[in-house]
Amino acid sequence: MQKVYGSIVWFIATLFVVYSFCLNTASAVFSEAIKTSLNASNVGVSIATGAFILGFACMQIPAGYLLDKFNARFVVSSGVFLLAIGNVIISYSDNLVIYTLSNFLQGVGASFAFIAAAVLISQWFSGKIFPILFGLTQTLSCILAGIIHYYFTVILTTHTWNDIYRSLAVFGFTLLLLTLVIVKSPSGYKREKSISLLESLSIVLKNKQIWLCSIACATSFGVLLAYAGLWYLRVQTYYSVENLQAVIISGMIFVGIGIGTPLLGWVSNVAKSRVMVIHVTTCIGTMALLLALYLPHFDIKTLIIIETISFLLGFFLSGSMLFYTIVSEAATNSTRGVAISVLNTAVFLFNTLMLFIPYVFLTVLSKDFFTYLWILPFFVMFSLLLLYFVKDTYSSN
Amino acid sequence: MSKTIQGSIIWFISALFVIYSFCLNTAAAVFSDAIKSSLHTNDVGVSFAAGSFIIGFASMQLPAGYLLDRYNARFIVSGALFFLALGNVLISFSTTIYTYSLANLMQGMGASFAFIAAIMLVAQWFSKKMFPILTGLIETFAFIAAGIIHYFLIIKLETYSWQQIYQYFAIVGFILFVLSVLVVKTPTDYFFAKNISLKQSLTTVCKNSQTWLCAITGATSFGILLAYGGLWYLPIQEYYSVTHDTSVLIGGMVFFGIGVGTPILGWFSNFIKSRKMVLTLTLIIGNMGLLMAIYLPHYLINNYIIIETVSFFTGFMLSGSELIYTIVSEMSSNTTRGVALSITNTTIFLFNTIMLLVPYAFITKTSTQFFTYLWILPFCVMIAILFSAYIKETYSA
Repeated sequence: MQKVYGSIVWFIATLFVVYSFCLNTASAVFSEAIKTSLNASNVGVSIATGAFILGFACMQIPAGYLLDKFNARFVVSSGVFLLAIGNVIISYSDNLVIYTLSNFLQGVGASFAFIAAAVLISQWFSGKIFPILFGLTQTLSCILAGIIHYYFTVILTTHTWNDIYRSLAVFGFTLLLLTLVIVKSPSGYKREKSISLLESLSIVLKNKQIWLCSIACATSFGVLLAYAGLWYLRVQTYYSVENLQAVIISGMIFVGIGIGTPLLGWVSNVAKSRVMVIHVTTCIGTMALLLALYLPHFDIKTLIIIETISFLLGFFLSGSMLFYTIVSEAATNSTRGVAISVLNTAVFLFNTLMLFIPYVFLTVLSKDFFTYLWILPFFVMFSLLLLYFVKDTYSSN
Repeated sequence: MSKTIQGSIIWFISALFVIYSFCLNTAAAVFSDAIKSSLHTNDVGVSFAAGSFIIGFASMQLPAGYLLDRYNARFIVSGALFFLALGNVLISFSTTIYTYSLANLMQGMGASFAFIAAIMLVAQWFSKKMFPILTGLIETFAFIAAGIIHYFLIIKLETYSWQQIYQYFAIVGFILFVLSVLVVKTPTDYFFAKNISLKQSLTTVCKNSQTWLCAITGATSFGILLAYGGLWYLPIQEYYSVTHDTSVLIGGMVFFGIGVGTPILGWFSNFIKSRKMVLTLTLIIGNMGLLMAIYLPHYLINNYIIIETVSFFTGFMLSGSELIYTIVSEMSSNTTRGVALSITNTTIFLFNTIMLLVPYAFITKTSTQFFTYLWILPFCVMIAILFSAYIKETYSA
């Protein structure tokens, strides 16, 4: 019975992740429409979009702490509530200031989603199930994000962005209701003696393993996201691949991530080792990344080679999602939320940083992608280096 | 005489054997134009004549290892030196491309024994701890001497004929032969492999999966390093319009790094009591160096200090791959050590040769620059990193 109930809880938490993904995607897809209807400049829109990221980053660690300390029912529903309220306000915003503020609010709410899913899985299921279910959360959000991105682009031609936001808000409040009624920590869940955020942070930050995992995950999964979200485009543009084709290539990476994460989680149970699976997949993933960047396009009519490579790249580098499992297994009940949120913040910040770092290597003589994208596999190798010192946390219990 | 002093003298003579064989190999390359005109042959003829050294070398590797397992090094080393010196004499009197090629084949067969004999003698005379350091120093001497001699030969060729220079070498060769007959031997308390055929020995070694892991790891790391330091750095420097002299200096920095790195990293692996850790970490850091060496753009500054530093660093770090010889030696018994080491050496040597050609496969009509064909080098090193995780630690106090 606990398993069935846990699965429902997991599914709702995953819907929360999907909902927050949607709202993040929405502001990117709508940016042109918003710019015209709110009479904003490019800089204005960038700030408005950036407000989401800011809110997200600020609340990550507090979110983790709250999930450690209180029953998930209150924390998760508060997160959903903040997100839905932000959603409602944004749909009625008629100037850039209100838009920006409500987007910030959305970011604050969204920052609970991923961590809540991780913490709920660890509360409801055994250690073995964690990498698989957490992977499936990733799968569902990757697939739905792709579909929704496409859907928004289409529907924006017939509806205003305000309308679309409003429909999303309806979904948000339905989700809030579900969360309030269903989501909770298991009744038998032992919460250890409560500690302050500062104490909790200092325990987590004093743990070298969590630092190692955070940096290693940031320099592998963070790099993967930066490549799949932005840098693949430079390579394809160089080979004059048309935009729609390039989007498919990017989509293949996410399909790879979606399939890879739960499958490799399962493999790590079979192999009885998290570290070994990360080592192997990161090595092969780096090889795929080198191919994706540097294998020339041969004179054939299809893009099947680069599409296959992109899939493999996403599939194998998604092995680095196992760092979440390691951190979860290395932490205790009293610090798990904070530990995972530290890891998630590292990944998220480094991903953002990687959208800029390659520009450092643009010189007068070297303007094409060749001489600035090498930094991507470079960082993934750095991740492998750190991995050598990560202790395996797999145990058969 | 203490065993250490006697061993050191023997080690020194065997190192001279390595240098002598290096010299004769270098000589053929430096003299190729002079030989072409005096023997009235064409480019193909000269390539064939130079290639016969490699054929001789490759064909005698395994027999060399086997013979050193079974018989006193005195006979094997002096026999090989005699053969090498005889080839040297013949080549100095050769008047046709056929006799030249035949003599060069003999030289290759003799030279094939040099490195294997040197490292076998280190294993026979010294403690395990000294193995990585002393074999590393042989590498150091060989690279320094080869660099000096290369330069020296180019100068001497202006005043002497190539035959005369070969004759001087032959004198050195016969002195070395006499020294090896008098001094070189296996310690009296050493147990030889008895009654084991080459086939049995090969079966034992080849059935051990560790042998193959080590051989492939060595080939895809040290073999790559040699291919980069020997050839592939050139197209990169040409692209940036670096003059030939400066390019050669950049290539030289790679070998300088190898020369310094090999004994130091060998010592370091004793210090931290692990071969595997040093191997894995240096492979990863070295591959990061290699990635920079290939793809970091040249900035608009007046000197080449960046690429020279990166080249040295890459050579230094990737020379950690030479610990493979130590690992193979430590996991072998006296019965099969020579054969196991020669399999490793052959694999590295063959892969190095193949890697002089493989990158050409990735040159396409639209991609003719180094960017899109030299990625195969760090790609191969990733294979080495992947496999290194499965190599068993062999260090023991």
